[in-house]
Amino acid sequence: MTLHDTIIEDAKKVFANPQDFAEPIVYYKRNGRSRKINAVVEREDSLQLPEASDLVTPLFRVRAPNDEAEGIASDELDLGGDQIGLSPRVGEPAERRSIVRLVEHDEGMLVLECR
Amino acid sequence: MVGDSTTYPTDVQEVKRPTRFANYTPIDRQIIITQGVQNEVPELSCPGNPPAVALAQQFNIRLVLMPSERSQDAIDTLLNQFGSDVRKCICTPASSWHTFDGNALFATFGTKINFTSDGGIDGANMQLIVTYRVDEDDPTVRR
Repeated sequence: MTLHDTIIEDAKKVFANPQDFAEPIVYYKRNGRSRKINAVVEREDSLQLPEASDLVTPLFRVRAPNDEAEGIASDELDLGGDQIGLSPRVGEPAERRSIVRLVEHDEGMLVLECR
Repeated sequence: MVGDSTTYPTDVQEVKRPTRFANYTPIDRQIIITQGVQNEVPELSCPGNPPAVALAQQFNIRLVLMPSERSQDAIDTLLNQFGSDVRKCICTPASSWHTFDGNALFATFGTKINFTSDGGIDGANMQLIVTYRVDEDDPTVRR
């Protein structure tokens, strides 16, 4: 196994492990399908909306494996309607939040911005 | 407009007035309404006891579009259609829309400003300015 393979494998087994960093979320596709996956959720408060300076909203960064079974595949992602079901604050019920930006991605992980 | 795709080709999904921390997630064909600046209009105010003061209240009507990445429709076309539909809806009935059931003196549309996909969203902010007159010492009394 190469270092390249190890990094991709770590994305699933370490970062996406709910015993370590990740938590269970739901990936909702625009076409109505959904699946449960594990991902790391970073919660930030009070983003001033770029399109509306008088509005603030919570911002979420979701780090998920780039994988169509255990995460989200970069080539299936649709920034026009795909959503993530997550708890806005830890302990709160999950809500659906739209994925508005693909911040970065490689063969191992995706970083998604949700609002 | 919501659910009426016969009269208005843009099938609006929801209309929101946000809470303090915007309690909504952006979706395709969504309308967000907030209030903007309020200015006094001295030439329409009247002396008296109490005096009547005319006010022009700006409303920001934000049209949010998030079509599929695979969509081949031009975003400008979608936005033009969306803006036209909203304007047509607000201006119904044509003879009296500007009074908002007799509560306003008149209403006009202001600048329409497009916002682009910095946050992955395209849309426009339509300004609607509603001018009304009330008691100077009680803004809930119409004059």
